[in-house]
Amino acid sequence: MAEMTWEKPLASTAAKPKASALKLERLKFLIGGALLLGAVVYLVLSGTMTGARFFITVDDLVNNPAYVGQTVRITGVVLGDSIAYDARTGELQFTIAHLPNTDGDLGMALHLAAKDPNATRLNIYMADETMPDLLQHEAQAILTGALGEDGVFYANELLLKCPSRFQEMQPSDLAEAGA
Amino acid sequence: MLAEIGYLALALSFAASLYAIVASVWGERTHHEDWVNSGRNAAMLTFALLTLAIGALWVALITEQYQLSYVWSVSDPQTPLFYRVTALWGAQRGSLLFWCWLMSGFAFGATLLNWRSDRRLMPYAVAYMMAVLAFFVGITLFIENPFARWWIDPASGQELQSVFAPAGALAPNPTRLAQTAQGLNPLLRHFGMIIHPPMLYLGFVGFVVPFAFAMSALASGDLTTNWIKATRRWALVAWLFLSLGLILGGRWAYDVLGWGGYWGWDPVENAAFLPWLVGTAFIHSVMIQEKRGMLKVWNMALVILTFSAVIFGTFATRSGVIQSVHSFARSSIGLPMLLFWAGMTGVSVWLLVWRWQRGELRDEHAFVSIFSRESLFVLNNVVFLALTAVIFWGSFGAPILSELVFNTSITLGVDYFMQVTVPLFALMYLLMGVAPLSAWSATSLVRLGGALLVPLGLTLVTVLLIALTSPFDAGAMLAYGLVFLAGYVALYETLRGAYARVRGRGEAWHVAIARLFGRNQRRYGGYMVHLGITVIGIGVIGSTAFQYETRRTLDIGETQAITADYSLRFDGFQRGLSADGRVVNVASLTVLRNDGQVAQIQPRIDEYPTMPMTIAGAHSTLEKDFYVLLTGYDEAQGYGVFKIYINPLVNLVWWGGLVLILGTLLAVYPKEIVPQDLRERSYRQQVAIDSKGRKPAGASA
Repeated sequence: MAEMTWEKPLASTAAKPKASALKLERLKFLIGGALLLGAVVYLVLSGTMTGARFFITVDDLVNNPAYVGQTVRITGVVLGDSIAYDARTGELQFTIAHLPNTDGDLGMALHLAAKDPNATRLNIYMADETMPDLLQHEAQAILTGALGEDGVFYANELLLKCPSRFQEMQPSDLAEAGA
Repeated sequence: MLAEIGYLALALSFAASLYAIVASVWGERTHHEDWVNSGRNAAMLTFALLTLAIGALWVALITEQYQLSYVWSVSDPQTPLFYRVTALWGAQRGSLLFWCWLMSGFAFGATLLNWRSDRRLMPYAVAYMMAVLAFFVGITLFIENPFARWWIDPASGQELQSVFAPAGALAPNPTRLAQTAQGLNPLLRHFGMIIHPPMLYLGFVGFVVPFAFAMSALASGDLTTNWIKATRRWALVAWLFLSLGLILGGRWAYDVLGWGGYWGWDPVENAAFLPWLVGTAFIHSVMIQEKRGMLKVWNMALVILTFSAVIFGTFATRSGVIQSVHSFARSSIGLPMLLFWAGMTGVSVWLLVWRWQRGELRDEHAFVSIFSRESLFVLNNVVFLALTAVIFWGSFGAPILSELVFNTSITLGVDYFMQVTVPLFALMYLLMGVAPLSAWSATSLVRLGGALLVPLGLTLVTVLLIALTSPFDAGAMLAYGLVFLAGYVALYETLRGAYARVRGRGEAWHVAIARLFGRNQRRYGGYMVHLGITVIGIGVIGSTAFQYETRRTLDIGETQAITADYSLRFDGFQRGLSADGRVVNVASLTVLRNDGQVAQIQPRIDEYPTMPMTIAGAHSTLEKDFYVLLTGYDEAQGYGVFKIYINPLVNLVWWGGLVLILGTLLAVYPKEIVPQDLRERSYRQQVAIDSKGRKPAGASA
């Protein structure tokens, strides 16, 4: 098939540029490239400084006073009974429990953490929030915010994963009703 | 029976893809035509086998075969037929099979359409495509098999998952299975989510074709532009689907996730965006190689990087390692996928370095001017790669590195992405405005400035008008300026071309435009895509810089002013049970503008057994979206609580997507198909030439 072109007329391709002119152009490219690279590195560094959040557990946060007032990202398991939402004001409060780091079955880890009476707990407060659909018992919460002097974590961003997304579901009671 | 058929077809397709690799490479290296042909046939057979496998799973979904654990986990007796069909890609296992099927479809198409025209490249291209397919079929077959069934061990009473019945195991009671079936995740019951995954997958697998041909060029030594010509359309089609997938994903988030936005800089969203960015750099820079014989190594590197980004994106979504609302459950396919990614990338880079060191990838021209079109294209590439790098760093680099070095994970929030990507996107739009006006080889600054005069004037007038009619925001005005400049240049160049025809040939305007597009689809299709990106840019700036949000409590019958001209009336509340078993809570609202009724909207909360779903009600116009979420209600006291977003120009994001699609289709549409007899004649000539250096078919037996 005929190939179409994306082109402007070729300008002065016949005349070969001199070596010195080429060198000068190459220098321009190098300087331009270095400037651009410098700008990108600066952007990334300054962006990283302002946007960086430590991603820590509830235990890390509660046991280290240095984190009070500092914007951090935390993860924990939601305790369903604690969820209180006032639709009129948008105030959302709930409690999360410490979720240990795990590389294994996260669904099981969430289940055990929610059941553990000794797990460190942390009260969460969010202002002007729409009640998230996925906020339920044993959901994993990832929150961005800061721990206040009063021991409450004031969050402004909430990401949730519901436990069903981690668990390999089993059809329970099949055996009793089995063929 | 369906499980056996599906499993067998899947297993055979795995064997066929492995055979195709061996036969193609062996046949090509030993010049045995029949082996090469046999490899091709095996490659094409994989498509038929995977069609059979996917057909079996589809039939199982539609006919409610809950003994298949996949069917059990993504549907239930209340699931409507439509969602049964789309449940095929509703979870990991089915969507992996779907991915394999699409991949084999692309391989089938590329083999069929390019076999005669690109005979020299085909054997290795087939081998590469089949290597990718074999890997994905392999993990589907051995790790995430969608044909596994539930069995009961009568001794222990335990449920087991296996394709074939374990010794002594019994099939569970079908009624009980149907009662316990899970149903499709409510988040996935949306138009955007139904089309978004297939589009994204098509985009992802589509890029495997240019990659395979590029690697074939390196392996076979055909280092001309043949591989680019053979795959130009494939790359554009993949790019189109990827763009569509991203836009539909945004639409789904906007409609379903209920936060009034469409892009959250989530790691998985970003993982799908990375191949788009590198792919865009690639489809621009191959033009330089076609036109000027330059950037040969760079193009190879870009195609490898695009493929790497595709596999990495798949890994990010499917391994469950990345924390995101979009990812699948944690899966053991993570490590094999990472190894495959590293292996394929390693082999490809080694091939490239090998050819490069042999001096076979030398450019035919050097860069002579910093303002030439090729230089600006390179700059465009650098911007796309810089975007790729900073987004990768923010989503994956910083968290992984900090974990390794400091043993503490550091994540970067939305503010990082807004701070770092906005200047780069601004530069991208600036280049979109300037590059089309420059000439190949050399352009003087004066000439470039002269060409920019009209679009620049139009841009200034437009920005002035916006500044006078909307709240002033210097950053937004600058952004509008850059975006409009890119759009006006695309329009101006198109109209200038048409005007030349109107004046020179006396054609009517509509005829001139139609013929202009017909004569150079690629160029004007490209301009149309630029126009689409401009429209998307206008929508993004409007909805980001000027979004307004508020929370209101309204009693039934009450009207409240929301902005100077908009108010909202709460008419009533209904609660009911839908046919598919969810409880639907609907608020009826009337949107008023300057006291005149403009729309009735119904935000609602659907209560599924597993979770509630908040569905926005929106009054959409090109100018803005009046987007309302029902966040709480009290039937007894007769009030409802609403979160209201006013998103100016947000619909331009979707309309811009449509322009982008039309532009890409125009660039891709085959203009002149070589007649069949001519193609066959050229094929026979090629075979005759080739066979001089080869053993005749059958000689290897």
